Amino acid sequence: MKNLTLFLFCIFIVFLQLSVEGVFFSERRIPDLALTLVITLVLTLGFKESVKWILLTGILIDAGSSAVFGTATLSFFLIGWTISWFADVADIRSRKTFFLATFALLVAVSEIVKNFIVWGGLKTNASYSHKPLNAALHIFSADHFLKILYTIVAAYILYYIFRRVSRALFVEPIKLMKRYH
Amino acid sequence: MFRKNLKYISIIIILAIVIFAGLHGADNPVKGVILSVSSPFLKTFRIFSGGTAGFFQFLGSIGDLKNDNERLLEENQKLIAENNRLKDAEKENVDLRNQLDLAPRHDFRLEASFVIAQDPQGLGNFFLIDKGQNAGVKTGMPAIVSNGILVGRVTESFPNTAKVTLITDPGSAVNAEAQKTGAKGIIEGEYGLGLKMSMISQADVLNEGDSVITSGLGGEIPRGLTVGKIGQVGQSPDKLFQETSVVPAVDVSKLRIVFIVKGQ
Repeated sequence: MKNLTLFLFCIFIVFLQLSVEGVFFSERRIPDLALTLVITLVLTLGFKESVKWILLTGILIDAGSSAVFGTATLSFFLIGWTISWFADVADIRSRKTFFLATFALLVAVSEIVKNFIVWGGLKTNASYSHKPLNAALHIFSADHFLKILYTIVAAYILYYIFRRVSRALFVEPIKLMKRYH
Repeated sequence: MFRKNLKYISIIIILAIVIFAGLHGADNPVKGVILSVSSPFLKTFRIFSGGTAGFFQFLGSIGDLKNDNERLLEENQKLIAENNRLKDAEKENVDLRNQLDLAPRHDFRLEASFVIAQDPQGLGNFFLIDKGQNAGVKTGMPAIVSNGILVGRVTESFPNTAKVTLITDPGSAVNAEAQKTGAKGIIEGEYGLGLKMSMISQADVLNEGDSVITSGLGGEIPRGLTVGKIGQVGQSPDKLFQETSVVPAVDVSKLRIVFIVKGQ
């Protein structure tokens, strides 16, 4: 049940990003829901539990994107691993305000890192196939700033929705199971 | 430490191999399978979101409807008059073409398709459509909107989906000419959603606001498809050619249905 719910949740988020967000947002400002899902999963379930869902999300995003196949998956995996290590060391969930600020910072830095990895893949592909590079990464542009801002807002929303849902769907049944066995 | 992370390091190595294979084009079948399975769901999501967006736009535009209605009535009367004049011209055109034994200019074989997804990375300029190889959609075919406006070209084709790269993509190049003066050049995408027409001879005349159409040179894209209107005219950096910005005829980021030109 837990696996099926998470599977459907990941697919739903990816479909939202691929098909729905483009209707409401300008192309270069689309919030990166898949990345927010990765961060949410790692902070909520832990990296070990999230690996398969991170890989699933990455592969689906890779299939529907202009990036070199595998680069989004690799970036999600590396970001998830780094965040889990950082969350362990810094104990970011110890205080609420500290967590809120750190969470926003994590999302912003992760978005920049992911864009660099994906763009690096495209650049390698362009030089490898002797074609002009069709994509530009403008870190200090208004579009990129707004994309990060929207992603942070989306991350807060997704994180709190996921925590509520996971509490109802995953944690409570486990507690009940323990009580009766 | 190393033993503990061995599983994760293995995953990274496997992903690096996948990326390497992707650079050689081996990812196409995998993408094809994933997109074929997900295409009906993507289409449903897109249609639903389009309806929701339309509803909100409608709510926001109620105040402007009266003014729009008056303007449209006036425009309609002008168009009826122009339509009658064009019908005469069309008849004359058909007669002349028959005499010269020429094929009709806009007799395209079109495949209507829904836009089902856009680039999630926001780095390139493309969208996915719900028709692919099974519907006869092949790489290189132009994509237009209903009234003959060029929006892009099919760059990857899968069994049930295809990737259309927009003319605004920096890697896109289309042979074009100014409709009135015949000035020929190459339309290229610029980062963002702009277009640039370059490699225009210094002897050619460019007037701001003139329509730009495809020239048909190269054979892949037929002649006469509308691209946009000439904007600001300038010189190339080496001063050898003229170049101009081109205002696209349609907002390519908000497309819902496109037609793939399968042939004439």
